Amino acid sequence: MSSSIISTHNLSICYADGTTALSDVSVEIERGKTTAILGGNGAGKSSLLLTFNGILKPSTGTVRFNNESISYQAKDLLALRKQVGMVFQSPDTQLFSASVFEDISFGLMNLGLPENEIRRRAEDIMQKTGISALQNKPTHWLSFGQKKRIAIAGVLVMQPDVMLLDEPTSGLDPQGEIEIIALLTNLARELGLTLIMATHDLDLVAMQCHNAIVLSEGRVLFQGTVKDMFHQTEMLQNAGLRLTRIGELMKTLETHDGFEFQELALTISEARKELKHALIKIQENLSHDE
Amino acid sequence: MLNLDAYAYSSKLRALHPIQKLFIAFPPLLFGLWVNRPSISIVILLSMCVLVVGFGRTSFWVWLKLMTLPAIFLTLGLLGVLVEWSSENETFTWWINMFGFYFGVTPNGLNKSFHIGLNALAAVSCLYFLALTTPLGDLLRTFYQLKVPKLICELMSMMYRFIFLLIETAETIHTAQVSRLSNATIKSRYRSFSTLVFRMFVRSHHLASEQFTALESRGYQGELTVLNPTTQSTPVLGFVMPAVLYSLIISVYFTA
Ligand SMILES: Nc1ncnc2c1ncn2[C@@H]1O[C@H](COP(=O)(O)OP(=O)(O)OP(=O)(O)O)[C@@H](O)[C@H]1O
Ligand SMILES: [Mg+2]
Repeated sequence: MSSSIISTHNLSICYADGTTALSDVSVEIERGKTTAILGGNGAGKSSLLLTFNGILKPSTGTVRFNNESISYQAKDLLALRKQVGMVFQSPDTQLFSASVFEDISFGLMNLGLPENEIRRRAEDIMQKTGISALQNKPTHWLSFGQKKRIAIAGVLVMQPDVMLLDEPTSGLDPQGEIEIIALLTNLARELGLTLIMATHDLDLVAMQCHNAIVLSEGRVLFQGTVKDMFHQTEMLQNAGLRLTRIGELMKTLETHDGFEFQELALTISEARKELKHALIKIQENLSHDE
Repeated sequence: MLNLDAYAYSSKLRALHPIQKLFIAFPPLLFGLWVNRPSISIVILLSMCVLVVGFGRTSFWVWLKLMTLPAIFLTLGLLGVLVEWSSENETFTWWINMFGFYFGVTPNGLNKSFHIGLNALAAVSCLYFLALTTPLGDLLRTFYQLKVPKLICELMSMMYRFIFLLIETAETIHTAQVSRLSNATIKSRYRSFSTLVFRMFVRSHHLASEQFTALESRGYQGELTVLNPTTQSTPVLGFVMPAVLYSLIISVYFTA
């Protein structure tokens, strides 16, 4: 079994109005890992996600799932979408029912599961995503973040192999953001789920993602590990991205204040390690001088 | 309509099966209209008040406020029945003289409009009972069970979901326009209204196609198959209530 679950080959997408959203994109998504898709507004992140579950058909090039080219026959697409679930950017596009439970049951009904199995899975996922208490409210009274959780639950409940998430944390409060991401990554680890998320949240990327793909104006600027990505300063600048806040702080300390670090720290825990290290070194130097 | 749904959600009678509630609302409504007797109308009116306020725990003031709404229209409409005109004034209890005619109120007319008014209010109270205890979503689900054609049910439930989104969108666009002084002059007001309508069409179209994509990615095959949130129970109270109500109305019918 190859390590890539989805791959694209010289993929181009042209919309009906002539906009070229993606041109000549060849990327590979590693199985069981979390991949971030980064880029400024209009870079083509959403478009790329939509090709992964066959909603957008490539103008040229191919998309492969488990090393087989996606077939765009209705029956095959249905099978594909069982395995590749998609959570949309705005929950209002996804939720179609006024009842939370009904909405969550929709995907399961389409899988043709028996009723008691559907109820069990739905209860379970509502518990896990923290939306059980919202069940008796109609969706139009829920807040944006609450709707977002329901949208995520509605896809998670189908137990796909791959989950495509378009800006999963936008509109969530800090607590909810942590909860949802922790839930997703835990499930990913447990079930070997592959996550692919388009996002602008660099802290999230630094903490939770293994790999990254950087897009700019429909072209791939970078693909590789997140660590490598943050080292390519020039490329980040071209794509309109930056380091994480912590990363910027550490870099400033290094260039302006004479600190010496071994590695570029991007998250709080990495920064703690580096700072401790640097401080110990300074102390050693001081005692040496005496 | 939007606020009614809010009250319905918090009503204690929400737990009754919608069909049980249909049996509480409609027979009295039809019977009341048919016999057209003040005593029956009063019994219906009071019972509905007791059911909604006493059992459903909806605030009495809310109920009263909602009832005054049709009452105002009713009063205006009944003025036509109440006020008669003639060239003589002996039948009138109160009258005024205008343009050589007498306009006034006869005991008969007073009686008649009182009947009609009370009867109409009783009918309205029955409909309010339904509206204040049954969220539209529950009612729609019942339509499925009653084998109303699937297409109609799906359309209704989609409309119910999206009417709120549409209103929200319209409000957002309107606020955005007003905050850029779109209502400064009459002319700009017309212009911004036409933009609003146009934008609404565009957005709706866009939303519809996005929604379709979202449904497709969850395996949509032309039918919105969903599962009921709960297998709806039929509490005993839901049988007792109509029984008591019917016997009350019938006994009043035969004694008065
Ligand atoms: N349905 C469509 N018809 C025509 N052009 C489109 C359509 N959807 C997107 N585009 C165009 O394709 C390009 C890529 O859009 P896409 O939505 O993939 O960007 P994105 O990276 O997701 O941006 P954002 O960060 O704003 O979500 C943009 O130039 C956009 O205007
Ligand atoms: Mg996007």
